[in-house]
Amino acid sequence: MKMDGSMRQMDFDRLVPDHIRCFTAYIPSKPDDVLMRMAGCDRLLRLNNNENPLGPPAMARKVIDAFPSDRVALYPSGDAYHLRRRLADLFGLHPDQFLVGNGANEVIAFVIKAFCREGDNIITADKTFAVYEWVAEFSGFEARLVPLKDYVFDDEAMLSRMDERTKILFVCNPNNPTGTYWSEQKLRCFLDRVAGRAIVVVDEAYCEFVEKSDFPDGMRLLDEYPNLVVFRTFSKMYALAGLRIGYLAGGREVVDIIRRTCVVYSVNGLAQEAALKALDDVAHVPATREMVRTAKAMLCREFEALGLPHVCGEGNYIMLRLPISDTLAYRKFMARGLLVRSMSGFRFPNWIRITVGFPDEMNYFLETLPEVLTHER
Amino acid sequence: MISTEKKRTLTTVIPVAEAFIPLAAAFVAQGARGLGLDSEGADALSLATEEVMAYLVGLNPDNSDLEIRCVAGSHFVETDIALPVRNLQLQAFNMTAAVCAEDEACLEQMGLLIASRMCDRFQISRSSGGNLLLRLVKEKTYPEISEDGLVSPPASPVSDFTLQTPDAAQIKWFLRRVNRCVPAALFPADFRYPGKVVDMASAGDFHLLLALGAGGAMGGGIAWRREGEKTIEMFGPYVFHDENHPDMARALLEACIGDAARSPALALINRMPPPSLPDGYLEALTAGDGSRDVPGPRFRMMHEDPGCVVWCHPELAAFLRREYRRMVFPRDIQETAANGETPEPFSVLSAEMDRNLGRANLRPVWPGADAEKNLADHAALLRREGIASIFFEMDLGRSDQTMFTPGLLALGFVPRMVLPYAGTADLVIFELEADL
Repeated sequence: MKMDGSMRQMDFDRLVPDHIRCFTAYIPSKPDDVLMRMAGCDRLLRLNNNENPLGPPAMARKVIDAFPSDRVALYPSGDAYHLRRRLADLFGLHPDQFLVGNGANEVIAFVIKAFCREGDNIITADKTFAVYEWVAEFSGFEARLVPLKDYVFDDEAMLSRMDERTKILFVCNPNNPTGTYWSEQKLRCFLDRVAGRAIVVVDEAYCEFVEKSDFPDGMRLLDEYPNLVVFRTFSKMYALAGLRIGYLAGGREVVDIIRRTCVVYSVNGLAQEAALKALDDVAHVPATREMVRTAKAMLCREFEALGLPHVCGEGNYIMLRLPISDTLAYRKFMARGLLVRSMSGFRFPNWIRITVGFPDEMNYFLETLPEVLTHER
Repeated sequence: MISTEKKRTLTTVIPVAEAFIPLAAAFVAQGARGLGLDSEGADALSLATEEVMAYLVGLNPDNSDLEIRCVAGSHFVETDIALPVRNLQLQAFNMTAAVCAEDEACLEQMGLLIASRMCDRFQISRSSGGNLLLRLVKEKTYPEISEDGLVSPPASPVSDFTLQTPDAAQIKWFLRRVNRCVPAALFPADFRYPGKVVDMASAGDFHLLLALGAGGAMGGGIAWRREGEKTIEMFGPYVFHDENHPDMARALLEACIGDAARSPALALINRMPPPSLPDGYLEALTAGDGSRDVPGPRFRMMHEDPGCVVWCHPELAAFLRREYRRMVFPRDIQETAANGETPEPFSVLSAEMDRNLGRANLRPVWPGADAEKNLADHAALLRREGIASIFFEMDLGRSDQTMFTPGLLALGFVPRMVLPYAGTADLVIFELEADL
């Protein structure tokens, strides 16, 4: 084909696989300063990403504040050597049962790459953390989405969707965004019925927020179920989201397989050291739980008074149903300096998810809510 | 050279020379037949191609080749003719080039216009690859729905409904009921042609969901389709028994939104909202005139709006500020106008005509000093062609397009609405308000 102009034109259509051509890139939020300028507001309260407003545990802060700049010239530990040993001590497992990634998102990709090939499928819920579905689809694998049942992962329906090409079942426990969870009994029953036919990933990104006695600790089930893989993150409870660090755990055999797809050196040294210290801080988790408990009680009380349907489960977030479009609500909140998560992308139209935090933040949200809901058809 | 790139696509590359005009015409005729058009439609597309090719030959582009692609759509065959703009005077591709609008004999000499008359849709544009693209679309012929076969609403509400993707027979049943129960202004003209909708649904160009009771009774439905890269247009929800309100309408609408939510679409539009559209899900696309009886088009953003910069001529700034404030869109509005710099002498407009709908969309391809005259010539030509609705789409992400604003306003074009993210940024849709 002849070209017009000096720049050579590429016919990418001939190069790009169908599953990539059909996929749309996720567009992250613009930086706060840009958002504030666009929205014409002078402050921005982030209630959209389930971040912990208390910030990192004090012991992790010290590491971060004291991190010597010279160290950035050196590669970090390629496999988070010390952190894996600390995790092994903490959970009574072997260091080789852990893989640390650049946020839990990266370990999702490790698992899918390790087990899926053309024609395989994964199973998860339709209304849950979208990254399981996205990674499967842009990798060319089918994502079978099972509707939630009363806001809970539907175990029976997930099992019924399995076939011989099902490689991984993803269970978000507690679920983001509904906060619902499977009890230990239910999880065990599910694992028993999967019976080793596929990998079961239990994403416990929000497990540190849960105080219910029947909530399962996936780490304690690893010895019994060799096909179980548990995800955890330092982004939520430990407030290290900006450093991007998360990990997976499993039996040594399954982790050895996943390690083959693992990109080493993807986790920076500061993140590894801060995470190591975060685990030692015994005061941080109770303090965060107290803040979340208080804020949830306050919000639920107000939502009930306003007659607004809401779902308040585990985790540091609440879902709220609005009588207007959630994407319109997002814009109206942002114009008032508040970032909330619109839930259309989670397939919950007209719902928003609010990260719970300090009382003054919650008060500002509640003061703003009636203005946002003023809407003419 | 003939190759089949993908299923149901034929491509050939030939020199732009008189000797190859019959080859181009024969390629399109045979290709269109092979891709499913009837003889009449294939002949029309072939003749249109011949006219376009003859026009291009007349422009004497040195040593140029052009590429012809025949693509089978679900209910149409599309012929794309692409050639590099190098060595071409772009203004020759205004639909109005060499046309004296008052003289019918002169009009008849205009190859592009003749070609447009033979097609259902005709579009001239400049592709991202730097090529000039002429697109000719001929639809397959389908029988119109029979008034005798229309289906009355259900006598009783449909209980315990579930949402299901319909098969061909159910689609036709649904359309027979929509045509009986819903005013024609509230559903698309395609719904008058059930076979066409079935073909479109089969190819994934139309999506439908029906609310069906346990015994198979149909209580309602909804339909949607992609419109360009970033927009989904939806129709409905239609609910056929009052007692099924509002649960059924809400379930249908939420399913449609759920499907759109993880698609590339940034916006969902409903241009003809029925009374059964549940309140609170979609926003008004245009400022209301106080009447609730005739709701205007509505939309819903599918993603959190990240904000963007938009360019506008000062004469459009007040309209944009008002609309962005009403719709609560964060936008950095940058005004721009000519400051004495020397413009290109000629402007170019892309014209897309849909003769079935009596509608034409004009889009700027190239700004130039003759913009207002060019717009006026296009409007006059389209009116002569019997096109009742003439629109102009201005992409606010393209600063060069702002210079068309004074001409548009002077000619009686009125800014009607802002379509979020329908272009490289938002689009402003102007409509020609009165006859020239």
